Amino acid sequence: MPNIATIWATLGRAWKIVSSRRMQIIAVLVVIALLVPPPVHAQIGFITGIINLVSNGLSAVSGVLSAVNSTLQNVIGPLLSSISGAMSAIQNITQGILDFQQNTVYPLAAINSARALVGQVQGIYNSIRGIWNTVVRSATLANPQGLENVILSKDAGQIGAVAARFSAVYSPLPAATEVHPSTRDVIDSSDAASQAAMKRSMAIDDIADRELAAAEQMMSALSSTAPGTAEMIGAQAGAWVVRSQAYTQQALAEMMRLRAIELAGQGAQMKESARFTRETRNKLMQMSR
Amino acid sequence: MNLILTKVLVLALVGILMIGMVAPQPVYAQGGLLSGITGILNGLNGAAAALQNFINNVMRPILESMRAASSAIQNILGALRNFFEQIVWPIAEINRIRGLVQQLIAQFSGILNGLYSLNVSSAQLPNPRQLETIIRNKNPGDLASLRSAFVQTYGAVPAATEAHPEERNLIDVDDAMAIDHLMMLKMADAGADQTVAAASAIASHGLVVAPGTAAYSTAAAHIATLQSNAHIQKMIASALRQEAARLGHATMSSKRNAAFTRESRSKATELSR
Repeated sequence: MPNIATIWATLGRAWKIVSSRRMQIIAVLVVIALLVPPPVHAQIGFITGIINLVSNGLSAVSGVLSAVNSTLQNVIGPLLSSISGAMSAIQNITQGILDFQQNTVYPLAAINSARALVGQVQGIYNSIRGIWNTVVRSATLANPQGLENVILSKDAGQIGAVAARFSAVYSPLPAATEVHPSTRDVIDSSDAASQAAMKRSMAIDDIADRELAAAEQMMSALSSTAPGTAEMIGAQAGAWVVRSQAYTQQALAEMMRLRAIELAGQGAQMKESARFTRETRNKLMQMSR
Repeated sequence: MNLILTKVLVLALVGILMIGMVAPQPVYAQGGLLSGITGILNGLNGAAAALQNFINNVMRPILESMRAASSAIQNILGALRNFFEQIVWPIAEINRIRGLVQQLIAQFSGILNGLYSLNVSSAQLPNPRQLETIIRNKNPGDLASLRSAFVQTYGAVPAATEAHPEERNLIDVDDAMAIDHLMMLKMADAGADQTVAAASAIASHGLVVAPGTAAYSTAAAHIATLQSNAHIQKMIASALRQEAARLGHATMSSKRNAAFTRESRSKATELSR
């Protein structure tokens, strides 16, 4: 076993060597330090870090999703449930309304029945139209036949022929030299009223035929129309009825004018008799002088 | 020896330092992975938070407004249903009106039909009775019989040798207007029967009509009224012709008197010569 003095001597020599080559030693140490690779982290620590990181992240995501779930269940769920209940009630009510409309207000059988009724009425009026299309002519002599053909023509376009046909049957207005002026006025007024009435009768016949044509069109449209639009045709027909009343009023006015002129003619005859009596008396008085 | 060693060390240090300056810096690959995972998790967290935010701030108000709207629709539809069933078309009222239709038909149809078909014939002699029968039989198919029956009762137009041509014309046109009018009235009677049938059909349909189909009956009735008006107008036109002929006849008398006076004056003048 070496003694302490030997060890101390050895250390002293070593110190001298180190001291004398200290620059080289430092340089070697620097080279070694530069060449030695840097320490690396152990893999276990890295994995633990990742796990911790993912766990923390997922925990945060889970927390948020849990809140989402809670919101969906406690807020959105009841909302959707109440909406579903309301929708179900709406469905029931709507179905009830539909059933009521289909079974009570607009039953298909009633619609078909109504259309059949329209067809029935249309058939009846077709029959009536056939009746009214019967030709009526009764005059036997040429002039009366000519007048009759014109005034029963139902053609307002022939009104211009009335005056000549009328004169051929009822004679023209007498010349001024043949009758007293007042009598001539009465004759002209009466003939005018008669001719006007005949002309009006032709126009009314023409109008009536056109009304019947319009009615036929409307009835035909009605037989195939929908329940909701039947009232539109009804309104149109109503307007035609009002128009028709106006034509009827015009015809009745013509009739009343005719009667008034006839009454006026009767009065004029009495006046004419009075005038004739007065003039005869005057002449007799002149003769007796 | 020391000098050599020192030079070697200096060269080694310089080389190492040059390499250290030129070589790229080391990177931490594991550090980028962690950053990516963190980014993904942050993204998930952000998305979940955004979803929560969407549910609370967008979806919930929309659903609440939908709930309010559906509740309002439910109330409106309920009110509409009540309005339809209790105010506009109450079943009881529909049945009551059908009952009214039945009552009207039962109460008036028989009586009106009886009055309508009342026989008012009054002639006693054969010819007038024949004429009366024809003019009231509502048959537009026997117009020729009407003419012959008319002639049997009222006579024929005189022969050309028996009357003045003007008088013959006057007689013929008077007869024609009267016969034409009687013929037209036969058509009117036949048409009236059909019109009554149409009215009965429309009225009877009231027993089975539904509220929504009553418009068909109404429209059909309007159109039928228009057609009846047209027929009434034809009757008035015929009456106008007849009245015009009557006035023409009356006026013709004045013309005939004037002609007679003129002819008498001429003959008196001739006699006085």
